[in-house]
Amino acid sequence: MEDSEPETIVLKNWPEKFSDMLSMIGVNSTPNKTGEGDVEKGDYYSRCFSQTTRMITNKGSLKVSGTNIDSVQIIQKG
Amino acid sequence: MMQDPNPLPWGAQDRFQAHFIVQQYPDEELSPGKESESWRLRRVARTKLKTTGHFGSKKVVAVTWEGGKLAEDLNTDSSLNEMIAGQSVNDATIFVDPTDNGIRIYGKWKNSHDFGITKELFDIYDNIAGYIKKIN
Repeated sequence: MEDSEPETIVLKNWPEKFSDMLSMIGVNSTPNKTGEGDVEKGDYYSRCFSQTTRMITNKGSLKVSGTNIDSVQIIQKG
Repeated sequence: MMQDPNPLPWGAQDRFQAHFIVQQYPDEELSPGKESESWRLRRVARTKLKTTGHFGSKKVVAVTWEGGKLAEDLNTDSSLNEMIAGQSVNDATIFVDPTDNGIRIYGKWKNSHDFGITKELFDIYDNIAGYIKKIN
């Protein structure tokens, strides 16, 4: 039998986690549902640079407000 | 049990990248053709680092930009380039990649433990985004 309290874990996806990181440095952002951000459609690289990774996974995006940056997308390799 | 000495390279890896995107698109009246290509070439840029030391002690001492018109503009901003030179070699390696769905600013891949954003790095990306917005 467990003699200590079970750990409580809040499940968050990457855009939610990244949004928390941005709010800690004073940047306002709103996570999009995965696959619903405009930036998640189409190619994520222009291929202007050599050796760009081909196999990637979209992990979602977030809308940023009050800065020159409009949105952020999280990408995983493979 | 022994670890496989030649693990297969497929599957999602513990490597992450955040793309900071300025939502600017090739002018529809100009594309397709050479005009759209010149739109891309004016906005592409990446840092070129001058470093000292090796491996763990490698440090950035100076930063210049190479690429199109955007790189020329960024090269004139010495305070921005000093801010970038204060970062680690990984964070000072910055790409500005003009794609069809926005102009993307990103650095090197990081594992989930190191993946994140600092105030200084966000300010650097925000400054670069400001230059992107000024380009015609």
